[in-house]
Amino acid sequence: MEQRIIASARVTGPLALIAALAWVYAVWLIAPAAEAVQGVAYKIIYLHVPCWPAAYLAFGLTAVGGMVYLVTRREDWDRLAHASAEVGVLFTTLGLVTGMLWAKPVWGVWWTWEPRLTTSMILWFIYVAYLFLRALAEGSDRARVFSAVYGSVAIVSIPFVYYAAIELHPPVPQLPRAMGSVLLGSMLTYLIAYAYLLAERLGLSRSEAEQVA
Amino acid sequence: MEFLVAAQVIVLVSMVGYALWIRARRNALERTPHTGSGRTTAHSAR
Repeated sequence: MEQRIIASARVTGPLALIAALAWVYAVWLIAPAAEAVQGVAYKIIYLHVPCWPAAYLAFGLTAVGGMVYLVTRREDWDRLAHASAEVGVLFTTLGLVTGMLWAKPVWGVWWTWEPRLTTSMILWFIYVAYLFLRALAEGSDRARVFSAVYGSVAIVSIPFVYYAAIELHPPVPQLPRAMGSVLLGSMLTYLIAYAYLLAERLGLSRSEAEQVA
Repeated sequence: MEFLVAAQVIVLVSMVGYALWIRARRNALERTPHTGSGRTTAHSAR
């Protein structure tokens, strides 16, 4: 399983590059130039929103990897959980940063403590703590077990973030077809990027494990 | 416009930079001589 994911980088790498080029082209030249209320700043939607499905998928895989490790004690599942969490933190960080860059021109502030933003930041802290935990206690079986339990429990935070983002959000008008298509393409691009970065990061984790074996 | 440009640059640079950092670390590891204790091998042999 691990070898197959690592080898998939040979496919997802070029695919991610092509998708990224098409994505930049679509954001700048295909998507409607401006929106009535937000002007051109609305286009940050194509950079910000896709961060979250990629992050949720990453943290979901961290939980799955952790649970399978707890059952099987196979270290490749532990490495998968760790690699996925790191890539997930990258997407969460990008989600927070692009969110701030969107908030400033639209709301006039970089940050406000409303439920969506607060729960997203809590999610970021939860998984940064996971990475710190791993970095401090790398190598021992007890650290791996604790990380697996932490990663499996941490996933329960995602429904809260999702609920805050979707249910507590002011009603969003139906996106015009052109905007919806570019947004869907953006999500696909981020998911391909996630698959590529996960494969590369997993390859690094395995090289590190072989080095100390 | 400047916020959109900044967001686009940050996203692309972060993803490409992260991929390059992983590649660089992996290459460096592969060039480094094996530093392990051989514990796994010895354990397997037993």
